[in-house]
Amino acid sequence: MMNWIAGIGRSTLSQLSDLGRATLILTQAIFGRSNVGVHWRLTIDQIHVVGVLSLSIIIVSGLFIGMVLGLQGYTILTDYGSEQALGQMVALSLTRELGPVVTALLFAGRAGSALTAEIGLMKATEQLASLEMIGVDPLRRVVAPRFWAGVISLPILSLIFVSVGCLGGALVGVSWLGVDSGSFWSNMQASVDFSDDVFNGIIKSLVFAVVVTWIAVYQGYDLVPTSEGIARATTKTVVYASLAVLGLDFFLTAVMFGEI
Amino acid sequence: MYSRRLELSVGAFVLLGALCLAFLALEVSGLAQTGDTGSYRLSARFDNVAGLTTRAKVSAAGVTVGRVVGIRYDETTAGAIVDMDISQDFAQFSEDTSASILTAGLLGEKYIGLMTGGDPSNLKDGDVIYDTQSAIVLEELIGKFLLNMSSDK
Amino acid sequence: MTNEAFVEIKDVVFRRDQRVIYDGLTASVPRGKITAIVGPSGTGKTTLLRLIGGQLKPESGDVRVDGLSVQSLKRSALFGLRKRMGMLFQSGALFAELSVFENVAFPLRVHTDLDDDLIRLVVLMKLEAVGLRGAVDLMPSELSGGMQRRVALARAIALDPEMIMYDEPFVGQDPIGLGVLLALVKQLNQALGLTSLVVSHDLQETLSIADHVIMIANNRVAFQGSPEVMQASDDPLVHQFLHGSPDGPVRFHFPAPSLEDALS
Repeated sequence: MMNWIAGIGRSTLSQLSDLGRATLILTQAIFGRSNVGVHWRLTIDQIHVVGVLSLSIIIVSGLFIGMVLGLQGYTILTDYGSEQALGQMVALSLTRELGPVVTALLFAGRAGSALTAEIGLMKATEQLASLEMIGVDPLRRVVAPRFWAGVISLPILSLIFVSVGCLGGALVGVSWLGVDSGSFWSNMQASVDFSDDVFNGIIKSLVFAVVVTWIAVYQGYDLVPTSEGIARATTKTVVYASLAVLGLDFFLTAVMFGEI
Repeated sequence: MYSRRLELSVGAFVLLGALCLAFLALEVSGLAQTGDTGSYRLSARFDNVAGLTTRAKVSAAGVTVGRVVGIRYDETTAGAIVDMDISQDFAQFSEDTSASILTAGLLGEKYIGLMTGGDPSNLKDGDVIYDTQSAIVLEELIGKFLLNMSSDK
Repeated sequence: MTNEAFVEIKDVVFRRDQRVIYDGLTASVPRGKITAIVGPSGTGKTTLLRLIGGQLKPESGDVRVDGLSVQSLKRSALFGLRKRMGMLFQSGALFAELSVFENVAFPLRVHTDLDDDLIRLVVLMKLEAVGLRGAVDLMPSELSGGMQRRVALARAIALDPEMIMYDEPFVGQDPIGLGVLLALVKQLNQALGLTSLVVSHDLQETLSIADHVIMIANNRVAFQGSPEVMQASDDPLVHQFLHGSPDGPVRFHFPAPSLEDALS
């Protein structure tokens, strides 16, 4: 019994010290003085890596999820004779939930794991130590640009995901299943509110972006520099980031839409 | 050493994001319809607004002309005051306009229907409509129906 | 002042997760000479370089580089001091996403305001010094391990440091590559008047170029002096190490309770 309680204490302490280190790394990376010109270029490089290269998976997934929503929604809504509400259903589920959440999950798998592995490999091959010896802070040079790139890219990817999803829903609903195009779009426009739905969705994905990228760069920076350590940290990134996204999503939804 | 292609692709990426934001604003949430032209405020007093929510649409002859922006309880008349923002494009409602709470379909959402009258002068910002028809509460309707049935026997 | 110490280490205690690495280590590195740090593996020779570079901090004791106490320097002062040191890592640690040219140019771009033409000149000079001017446009992944180390060496001397630290520069080299690196270390030391610090367990090769030897064993300095004195030493520890005997003061067995106790 005592052992069990001591075990809880030990793991709590180690979790807390992890959190402390992660916070320290992030604040040092973000708030350190840095050469803005150089770091802006590096951030652009990283936006290319984490953002542009994730485009294809985001567009394809968005399209298919929109199309599935169209199909499923249609079969359910026809039971109540209200197929014209299809646009509303597709758009609301995408802007409020599926857009930010699914994009963040895909981002954690595609870009987050790559960030962890890349930083981890730089650590294992002593590139980070070598930066330090040259007199360059790796937190500012390596971690900060990747962090900012993630924070900028994910909301953009999420916007693209939602847009493509709505078009996918329209494709199935209007062109294939024959819902009237006018009522599809007008119902959508009548029920989706820009500040309540679209903007809240963007805020959600901004929060997810910070959390997912933070976890990814921390796991990479703090890992044990062996091939096994890199493999484990990459898995941790995907698992922790996905759990964090889903948990935070519930919390944010409760705050944003709870009172309605 | 930074290639131009990389800069271009990042630029295109950001632009695509902006484009999608515009698409979501205009096509999906229909921001342009209500945002551009400005609106004026009308209120209406109902005995009962059961089921009406803020953001419900206000329509006249089936055309959406505005939105419900607030619902509050009025202690002096023991009724509900509903505030509506009506688009400036539709400023031709006469002073004897009536408002009723309607339902889209049998189970659909509640909205407000305006029916203009014959009075030559029009409603202005801040005016209150008193000629109203309240929401139909299904339970009350069924209750009345059952009462009638039993008194008929 | 030729015998003045560039690095002075005094009574350093360092632990890693309870395990004692150093227990009162005292040593000094003379200015302008090649100093070899040797010792059985696992005695923390690389750790010593990291202490000198300020990447690790000792639990107690003092590490001084050119009179500056490394462990108590502020971050910016430490980074300033590091500009005066070069370090060659075991793996080379070239930046994988940059070309050979950009790797060598990196410290110059970060720390100087030189224009592109001047940077190009300096980079080509440094690469010429390590004999790899022809590889200037290749990527690190296109080079052999030995050539990567030479590029890393060019990068380490890009800012004309006063001291250069080599972490196991000879590991995994074929005899030719090893000869090239040995000659380079010697040449750079003589041509630039660098203080050189070589960590290695390729004993004979290292001793052939060293002016000064520090041997670390059992958490402290076991020997300090010139290679000739070391060869002649009759200290059992030094003797065991020089001749590679399997058992001696450095035990064959990892510390453990006696076999009888463990089996009963």
